[in-house]
Amino acid sequence: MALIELKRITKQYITGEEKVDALKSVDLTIEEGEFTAIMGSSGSGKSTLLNILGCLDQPTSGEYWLNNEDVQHLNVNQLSDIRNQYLGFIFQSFHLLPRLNVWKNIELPMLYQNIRKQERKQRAKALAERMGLRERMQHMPSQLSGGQRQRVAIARALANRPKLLLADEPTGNLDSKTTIEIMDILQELNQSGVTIILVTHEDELIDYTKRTIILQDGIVIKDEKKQLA
Amino acid sequence: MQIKNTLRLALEQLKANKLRTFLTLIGIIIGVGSVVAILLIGESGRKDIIGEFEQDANQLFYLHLDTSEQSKKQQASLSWRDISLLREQYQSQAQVAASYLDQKEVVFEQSTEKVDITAVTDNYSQVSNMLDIAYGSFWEEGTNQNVVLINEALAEGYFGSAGQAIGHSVMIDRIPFTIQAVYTTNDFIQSGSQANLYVPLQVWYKIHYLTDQPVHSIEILTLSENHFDQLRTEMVRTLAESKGVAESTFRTQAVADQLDMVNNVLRIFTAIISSVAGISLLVGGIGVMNIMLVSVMERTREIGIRKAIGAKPRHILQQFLIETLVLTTLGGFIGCLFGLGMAMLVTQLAEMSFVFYWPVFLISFCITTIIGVLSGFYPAKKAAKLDPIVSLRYE
Ligand SMILES: Nc1ncnc2c1ncn2[C@@H]1O[C@H](COP(=O)(O)OP(=O)(O)O)[C@@H](O)[C@H]1O
Ligand SMILES: [Mg+2]
Repeated sequence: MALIELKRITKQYITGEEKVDALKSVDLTIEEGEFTAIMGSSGSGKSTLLNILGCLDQPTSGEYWLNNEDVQHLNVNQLSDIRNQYLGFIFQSFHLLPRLNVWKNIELPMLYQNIRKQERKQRAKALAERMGLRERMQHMPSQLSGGQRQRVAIARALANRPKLLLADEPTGNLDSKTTIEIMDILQELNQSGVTIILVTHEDELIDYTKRTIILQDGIVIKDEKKQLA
Repeated sequence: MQIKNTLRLALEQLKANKLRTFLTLIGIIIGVGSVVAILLIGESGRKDIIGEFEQDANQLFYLHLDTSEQSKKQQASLSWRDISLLREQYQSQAQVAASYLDQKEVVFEQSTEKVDITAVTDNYSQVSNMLDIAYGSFWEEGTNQNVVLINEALAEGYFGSAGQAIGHSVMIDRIPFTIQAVYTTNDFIQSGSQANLYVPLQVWYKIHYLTDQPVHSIEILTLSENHFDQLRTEMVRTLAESKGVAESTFRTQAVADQLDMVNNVLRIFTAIISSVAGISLLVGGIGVMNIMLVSVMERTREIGIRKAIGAKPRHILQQFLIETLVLTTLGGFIGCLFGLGMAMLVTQLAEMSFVFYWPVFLISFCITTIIGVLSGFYPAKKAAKLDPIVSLRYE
């Protein structure tokens, strides 16, 4: 059974008189272990799709099955639990909490799962080390470079050992060298078994992924799996 | 999420906005401070003013002639004979003391001063509880010595200290009296002159040839509270019958009545300050709610991030509610110190002894908790309900 199954998903935004159909009947199946890039021009509905996949937003119509669960029928608390335990988010603007240091930021998802202090500390430390942040545990986000911040965000996303990582233009605010760093990390994570969905409009990044989906005006116009060499 | 972490988070949040935190809390500080101050001052005052009376206040009353116009026409007087009558008749039910008021020129060392003299029966100090002996002792039962009790102010004024006054003589109407004791008065009821001497009644009668042995006031201490009202009317009736005059010739005054009055005054005072405190607390609560609403708005993005990584509405609610409670409790704590200081200052200025009444801390803690919950709930609820997507996108 697929990790993700979307059936005829639509999303309509209504702002005053205006209606925007951000997604128009999207069907999509993603298996465990995939590394998928969602591409498309600005405004094509990539973020909208990712937010629905991440249980942050609800579709206007259609079915969403995540890990065999019908997401439409879950309540707020159950959705929170899914985000907390199955999913990890990485955003373009990092979205770290500015008043918490690196350590506390990484710990945050574990706090909402009532993990004991000892365990939290251990996991946060291991993750920080894995992201090359060992010397930065006590730093505040404002004291870090963009690449470092994104690595903190990745560590935080991994804190509860999620099945699925959702990244919305994670390298959008980074230079090309740092972009490569982050992409290397994501690739390595995928190789270790984490399913990743990456939203981007940078063509170079598809070198790292195994599958490319192209959106245009809320419709999937291309879905291409790479032939493994 | 564990409370401890939320708590630490809240403290950090407040520390980051020190000035704002303080300004927000002024209303609560003043409100709680007033409550604490009024409770402490009230309690100190009550203890100070009526504390000594309280134990037998319900058993003591005074009896004297009614001096209002109407009753004056009825020629009547009180004398030693009446005391004897009452003592005899109510021996097992009450202790009867009496006092006679006079005014004389008194020579202390070199100076002369016009002074009120109260000549009292030997049991006066037991009955009326009006005197506190600070130095020396009350005269012995049945004394025929010229002894006198002087108050602390006179003793200090003329002899340097209360202790040094004992044994010295003063001249009352050219007759020497030996200072037997120095007393302090519980004079909230008899707010008469400060210069007041107490002498034995029988001695006074003899020296001044008061053969009809007059008395101005009779003080009666009933042995139990149970028959107090009954005895009060019966004794008046007994006197009226023995003299053949109307009962309205006499008036009685119970200490308890006067204590009620004091309590009432304190109560009114408390009510006034309490309403001031109430308004401060209301304004303070609104201020806290306002600042929390601002805080929720400022931290919309933080709320979005927290929700994205799995915070449930109740986690967010808890976070903001605890933050509000920490804020108001902090205000309450500062207010307590403020009120404590104020109460100490006021009691000092009013020359009252300060009584620490610890429940005030509990009371103010309850007040601030209630305010915290009331003013924090709406902002916290608002934060908890925020849509994660909308808040993440909030600039
Ligand atoms: N909250 C919203 N309210 C109204 N319209 C929205 C909202 N979010 C996105 N849209 C619209 O939906 C379309 C898709 O947006 P989005 O998914 O953000 O595109 P992308 O991420 O591919 O740039 C755009 O036309 C955008 O203007
Ligand atoms: Mg986007």
